[in-house]
Amino acid sequence: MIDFLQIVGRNFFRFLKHCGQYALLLIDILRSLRHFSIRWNLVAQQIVFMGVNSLPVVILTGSCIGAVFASQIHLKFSELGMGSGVGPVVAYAMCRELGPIICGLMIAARVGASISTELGSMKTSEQVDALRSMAVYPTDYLVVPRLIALLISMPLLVSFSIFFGIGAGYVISVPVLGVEPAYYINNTLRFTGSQDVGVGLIKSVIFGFVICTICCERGLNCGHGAQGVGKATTEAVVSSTIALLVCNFFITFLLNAWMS
Amino acid sequence: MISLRNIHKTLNGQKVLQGINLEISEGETLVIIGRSGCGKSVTLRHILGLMMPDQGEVLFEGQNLMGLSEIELIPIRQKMGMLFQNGALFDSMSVGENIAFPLREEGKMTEDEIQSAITEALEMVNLGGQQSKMPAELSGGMKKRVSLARATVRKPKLLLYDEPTSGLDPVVSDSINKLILNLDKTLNMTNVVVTHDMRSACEIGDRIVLLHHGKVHFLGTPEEIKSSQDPIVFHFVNGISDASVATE
Ligand SMILES: Nc1ncnc2c1ncn2[C@@H]1O[C@H](COP(=O)(O)OP(=O)(O)OP(=O)(O)O)[C@@H](O)[C@H]1O
Ligand SMILES: [Mg+2]
Repeated sequence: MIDFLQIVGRNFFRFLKHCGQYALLLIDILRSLRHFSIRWNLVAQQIVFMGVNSLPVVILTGSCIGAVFASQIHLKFSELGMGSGVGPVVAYAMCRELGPIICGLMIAARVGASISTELGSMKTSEQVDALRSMAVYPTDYLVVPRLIALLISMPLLVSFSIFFGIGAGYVISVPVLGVEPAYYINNTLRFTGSQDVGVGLIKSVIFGFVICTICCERGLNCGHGAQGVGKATTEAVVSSTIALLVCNFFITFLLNAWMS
Repeated sequence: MISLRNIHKTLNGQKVLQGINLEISEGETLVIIGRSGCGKSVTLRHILGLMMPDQGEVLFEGQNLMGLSEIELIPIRQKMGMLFQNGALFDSMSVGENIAFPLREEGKMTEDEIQSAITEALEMVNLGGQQSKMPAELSGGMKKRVSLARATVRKPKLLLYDEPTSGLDPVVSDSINKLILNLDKTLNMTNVVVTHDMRSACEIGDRIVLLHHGKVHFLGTPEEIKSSQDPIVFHFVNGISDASVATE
């Protein structure tokens, strides 16, 4: 019992500590934006790494989820004789939920992990201190360019994910499962609007922010040595995916309340 | 130029510094010696403001670094440079980019001037023409020398060297000692050098300070330290461990 309480207590304090460090990082980012101009060359480098190089995974996962979702929906909808209803359902789900979430999870795994590993190993090998010793503000050099790059890349990546998800849904429904193409397209366009895409894009920006800030925080505050970096990376990916899903819940709720 | 006043620092419950007092005047070369783990690197970090003391104050040109924010420290750090004990080269950049980094940050030179500064800096540390190598491809001693080139290229007023010659062969060590002396003479830099090598300490140091148990145990010129009869100083200078003394 005492052991149990101890573990709960310790984890609770760890959680509080992370929250505090996270808040400090956010303040640092604001400070850095106020005092220094943005390093666009680093932003461009990061866009290539985070955005362009993530495209294949994002397209692949987006299409897979779109295709699978379409075939599952088709199974039920064709029983009801509404095969052409697959189109709008797939499009609606891809825009509002599946596109942003799948893309967010992939980016948390691919980009988030690399952010925290890179910053973590820079911290442990004193490279962050070397930056400081050369009169560079680490947040300005390491965090802000990554954040801006991800805020720019995420909406684009999510758009790709949505586009290819809907496309894969079409390929599965129309040529493979034999839904009438004219009805499919017509219904899709009739029941999905720009606000559905808008929801996806708003989510994508928030997810980008959450992933980047959490992973930077974990990386910059990592423990000693290779073990510390490994632990920081695990924590970064786990925390950012959990935060992503929790945020998603609240954003969905708020946006639905606001738009209805 | 720098005053450390009664610096105390506890790291992980271990009292590393327990009241360091040091005055470093402009243009001098101060050598810090002491047993491994006695807090030499930690002392250097305090001078740069990379660590803040728990108690006491660090003054640089009369300005107290205590309580300054990271951003307020930036103009002060522009006047300083540090060679880290393990090099701390940016491993995502080539050797040339590493050396160019402080110059590009400073933003005073054109790209041509930077390129020629890189070439010159590398030749100074006997690594001419290695610009395009990555840090991972260098040997330990080469990393150290690139790091030295990076620390000195901007020619700051104050340079902190954390073991510049450890892990280097005697010939290169000697050339590095000469380099430090030369920078000191031609540019009137202030140097703080941490070293384990008594010979180079006596060669380059105007004064030598021995840290022991987190305090300044001895402070004097190379001659004074060599002739000192203090047992701790004597053991250190002559490289005798306490155990071997006990059996004598
Ligand atoms: N970041 C840190 N966290 C916790 N303890 C530390 C940290 N840095 C140094 N220490 C402790 O402080 C003491 C002094 O360390 P320091 O690196 O200054 O030694 P040093 O005198 O430079 O030794 P060496 O000659 O081996 O480099 C050591 O006992 C070390 O355990
Ligand atoms: Mg040291």
